[in-house]
Order: sequence, then C-alpha cells, then structure tokens
Amino acid sequence: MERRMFELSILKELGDRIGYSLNVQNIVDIITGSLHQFIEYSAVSYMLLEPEKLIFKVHLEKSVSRKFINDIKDRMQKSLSALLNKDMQKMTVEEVLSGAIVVDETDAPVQSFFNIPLVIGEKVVGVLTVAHTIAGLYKEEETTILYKITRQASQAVTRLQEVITIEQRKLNAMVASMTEGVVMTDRDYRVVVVNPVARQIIGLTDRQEVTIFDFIDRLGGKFDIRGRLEESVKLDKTLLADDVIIGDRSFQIFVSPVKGTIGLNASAVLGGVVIFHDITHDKELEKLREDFTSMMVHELRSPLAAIKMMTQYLDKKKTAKDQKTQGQYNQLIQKNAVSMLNLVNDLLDVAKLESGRFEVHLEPMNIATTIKDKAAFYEPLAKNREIDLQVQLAANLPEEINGDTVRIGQVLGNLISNSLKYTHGGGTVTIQCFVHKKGRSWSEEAAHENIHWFLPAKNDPKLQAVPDTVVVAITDTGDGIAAVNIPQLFNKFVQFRSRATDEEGQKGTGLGLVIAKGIVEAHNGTIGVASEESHGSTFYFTLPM
Amino acid sequence: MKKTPANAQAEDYRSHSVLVADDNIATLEVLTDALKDAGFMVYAAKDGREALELALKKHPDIILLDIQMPKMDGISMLTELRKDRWGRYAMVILLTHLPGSDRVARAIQLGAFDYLQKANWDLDSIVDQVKKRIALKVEAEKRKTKYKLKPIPASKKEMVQRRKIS
Repeated sequence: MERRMFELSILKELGDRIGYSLNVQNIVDIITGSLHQFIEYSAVSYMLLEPEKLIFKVHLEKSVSRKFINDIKDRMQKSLSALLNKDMQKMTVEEVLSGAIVVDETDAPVQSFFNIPLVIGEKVVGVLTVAHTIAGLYKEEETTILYKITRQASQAVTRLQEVITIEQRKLNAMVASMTEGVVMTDRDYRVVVVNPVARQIIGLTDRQEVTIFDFIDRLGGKFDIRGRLEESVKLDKTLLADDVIIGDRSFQIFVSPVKGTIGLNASAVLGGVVIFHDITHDKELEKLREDFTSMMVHELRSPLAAIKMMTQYLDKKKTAKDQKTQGQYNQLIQKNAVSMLNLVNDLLDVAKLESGRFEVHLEPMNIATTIKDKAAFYEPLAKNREIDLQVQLAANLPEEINGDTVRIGQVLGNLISNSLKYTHGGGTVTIQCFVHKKGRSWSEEAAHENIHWFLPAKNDPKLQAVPDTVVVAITDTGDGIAAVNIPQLFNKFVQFRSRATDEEGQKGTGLGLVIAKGIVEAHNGTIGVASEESHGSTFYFTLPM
Repeated sequence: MKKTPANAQAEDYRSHSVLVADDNIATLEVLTDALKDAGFMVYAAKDGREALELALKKHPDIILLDIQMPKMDGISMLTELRKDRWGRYAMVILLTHLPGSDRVARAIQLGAFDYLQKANWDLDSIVDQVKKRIALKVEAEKRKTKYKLKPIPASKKEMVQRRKIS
C-alpha cells in the first residue's frame, strides 16, 4: 500500500513537472531524474531517435567502466533496431555523460538490464534503460512502475501533440488566408511558417521549401531581414520599416520576436516573425488625392489671383481713356468668376453625392426639347472648333418623361462639352435619342428609327436587359479612351491626360463625369461608355419611362 | 540722399524686356499691362512652348514663368531653356501657387532665380520685384564691361594650347 502511494505521488509529480512541455528530451530528462527515488541502478540512460542521429544520454549513479557504457549503448541500439525494424547500428550516436566518473578499473559487467520503449503517438521515438552491476534486480514490481511512468508521459505528450497539431492547422489556415505576407523563423533563422502571400512577394510560389536565404536573396539590399530579426529578438522589440519597395510594390514591414506563452517555455524567445503589409494601393490613393488637391488649388487660385490683380490695376485707372481697358477687364473678371463658380458648384455636387444627400426634382419634362436646347447652346463652340454637331432624335420619343430638366441638362452639357474637347477639328459629335424596350437590341431599335447607331453591337447583349427607357447617346470621332482607363472614368480624382488637355490647354477637373453618374443614377438610370482608341467614344445614359 | 546706381537706372526701363508666361489669360493680360505701364517691353506667352520660342528669339532680360501650363509646363520649359547658350544664364522668376512643392524645388535646381507665390500677389510688388532684378542685372553688366576680357591674340593661342598639353 505504501508502495502504491509512493507510486502515485511520483506519477503526479511527474505529471506536474512534464506539464505542457512538448520536448521529448525534456520529458525523458525529468523521468530519469526522478527514477532513483524508487529504483536502484548503476546507470540510467535513454536513446532518442533524431532525423540524422541518435542521442544517447547516460547518468551514472556510481562509477562504471567504459565497457559497461558501451555494452548499454550496444544493447539499446539493438533493441531500437528491433523495435523499428531498421538497422540503427550504423547511425551516428551523440553521447552525453553525467553523474559519476568513468573508471575503467571497476570491471563489473552489466548484470541487470531493463529496456522500455518510448512511444509517442503510436510511434517509437526511443528507449529508456536502467542497468546495474548487481544481478537479479528489476523484477515485476519495478518494471511495472517504469512502464506506468513512461506510458503516462507518452500519453500526455501524445494528447498535447494532437492539440498542438489541431492548433497548428488552425494557425496555418489563418496565416495562409492573411492578406499580409507572414514569415516566422526559429532562433536559428530556420523558416517555420511562410504563407502564400510571403512566397508571392519574393516570387517563389511553387517551391516546396523556402529558406531565410531565399528571402535574403530576393530582398537584396532593400531589407536586411536577418539583421532585423536578430535585432528584434535581442531588443525584444517590434521593429517597423516604413516604405520598402519590393518589385513594383511598396511594403510596411514589421519584425517581432515570438515568445512562448505556455509551459516550461513561457516567455522564452522562440524566434521571430516578419509581416509584410502591402501599402501600394494606399500610396496610389494618396497620390491621387495630392494630385486632386494641387489641381483644385490651381483651378481656384488662378482665377482669384487674376481677379485680384485686375481690380488692383483698375483701381489706379479712373480716367475716361481707360474705358476700353475697363470693359475688357470686366469681361475677364466675369469669365474667371464664372469658372470659379462652376467649380465650386461641382465641388458641392460631389460633396452631396458622397454624403448621399444628392437630390433631383422629378417632374414631367420633354427630353427632345432639352437635347435641342443644349445642342443649340454648344453650336457656336462647335462651329468655332470646326466640329459638326448633329442631333438625331427618334420619331417615337414620348412627349413626357419624369426627370429633372436642369440636372439632365447638366449631364448633357458635361457629355457634349467633353466630346467637343476630345474631338479634332473636322470631326463630328452626334447626339442621339431613342426608346428602348426591355429585351430588344439597341442597335435594331436605333436602326428602326433611322438613327445611325455608333455603339458597337457587342455592347447590345448586356444592354438588352435594361427596362423600358429613353436612351441618350453622345458619340464623337475623337481620340477614344484606352480600355484600361474606362473603369476609372467615373471615379473622383481621376482625369486622364490626353492630347486634347495637353495641347489645347483645356482644363478639366475630372468631376464632370462623377456628377453626371450621380444625376443619372438619382433618376434610376444607367450611364456608360463604349470606346475605341483613335476612333472615338460613345457616352450613353438611360432615363426610365 | 546719395543716388545708388540702381536708383539712377530706375526711371527708364524701355530698353529692358520681360517675358510673361501664364496660362490664365486674365493674369497674362493684367501683368502685361502693368509692366508696360512701368515702361518695360513685354512679351506674353500663354503656354510653355510659346514661352520657349519667344525667349530664344527675343532674349528678354527677365522671364516670369508659371509652372502649371498646357503644352509644355514651366519645368520642361526651364529644362529646355537651360540647354541653350543664351538660355543657360537667363534670369527666371517662377510664378506659383504651391511654393513648397517638388516642382518648385526642381525649378530652383534648374537655376530659377526666385519664386513668387501667386495668391499673395500684389501687382505693385511684382512690378517692383522685376524692377529690382533689372537693376541688379544692369549693375552686374556694368561690372562685367569694366573687367571685360580681351580675346587672346592669335600669336599667343598656340602657347596656351601647348601649356594645356604639358
């Protein structure tokens, strides 16, 4: 009974001490360190299987000869070979001796010997051995408790390993799905975790193994990954590199030490983690905003400065003979004031659109009249630039639709002036309007109304689904828009530099199309563009009937 | 009060010319008028390309250059101008809305003499600035004539070359 109690207390103590350690060697060290309390031996030893070698650790309670140790080693290797069904005799053995010294004069041979396999997760990982120079030891009682102890330890480890495997799988899945590139290394800079994004950053997506040297190679002189990891672990601090350019992208790179949180390894540094945060998009946005601001500054300040100087100049000229200058300046002042007013109005519209407070006042309106009026307004400008401005209206247009005459006029004005801007002298701008019935082809509907339809037929399928509407299209014979730029066209901040804006000094804020889209959508309509570079563009919008 | 050479020159600017380049027609107009009133000969350009052509043809004493312009912006114009034998040393004053911007820094690198911030602009102060620059230039030119280098006589040219070789 006393023996039983002792057994239990040993098991409990072992259980506590093993705790959450996953290191088999640590655990076996703990076991061998406790064994002397209830078993007698000259030497206790274990042999663990490592990938490339065997670890052989012997603790001597009393001095034995070298021959004695070699005998144990040989027996253990043999039993491992038998257990694993594999020849272990030729493997390198790393030997660690502790305890009493080796004295070759003590010639006592191994008289008692007992071997227990160490099994973790149904796999033999090594053997544990007690040996004595006295014969007849290690009977059933002793061997039973040894079995119990090792079984208990191996079960604990197996369970823990299962938990860890699950956790690791969860962690891996999480890391893999992160949009940041993640690389984790152990203390010797061996890559433990590397996620797909990190592989992509260094351009090694299909290689199985990625090492720290791959990162050093690919990052070149831009980021000293190993140095930073060393520094971070040493200082126990997270380091940040703000704007590192790798390939054609910019990254923020965080380097942090990784610490254990459980068991014996708690708060010990296990390695380091490097996180690559892609800031390319943020930087692009920032650049767009800066460009927009500088454009606004120019567009607002230029006319203001001009007005200020002109009024200053006029102040000094009060005689009658300056009447001519005054008249001329008045016109210029007005022109600058109007352009600023328009810009401020556009900015207000965009602000309303962005805050969702953009409103249109729907009332019966005549679309044909609105189009004709706008065309008449732009006729002089078109003539001046030697562009043929045409209007083609279908005969079946409804008398009335629900819409905001002023706002629709604004959309038309935007689109017509854009088209005029991007069309060369001698070109044509055509405004067309016809009725579309859901499910029918726009091309056919236009042809039926004797309208020469410019929009490519490939656009038809997706447009057929639009419910019954009035379709307005403005087509030019200008430079067209590159396909890559089309998705950006209705975005704020974006204005594409073109020959027209560059050569002829026609300024734009890029707000016009943003507002046009807002107005059309407030009418439950759609707006779009079809374009072919160096041939021309068609901007169209629909208004529900 | 004793008259400095600058003041002595201040009254007559008819022999001096200014090139103004700005894409805002109103600014261009009023600057032209004000500088003309002050007695300068004024050339007006509404974009960078026109400014470059006029500068190289007329060799104005001072160029007032807007940065943000169509066709060719102020920076490109300045870059081109500096490639010319005369243009290398032409006096250029920038007109800008954004004095802190990269483009102004770039222009200073290219040897722009100074810049003026447009929004703070006061018509009189611009005319004053131009006058001051002209006065400085006149003074510098006087000094140059005083110590004008004579061409090396043909007989001694060979000697100079030989020295260079050895």
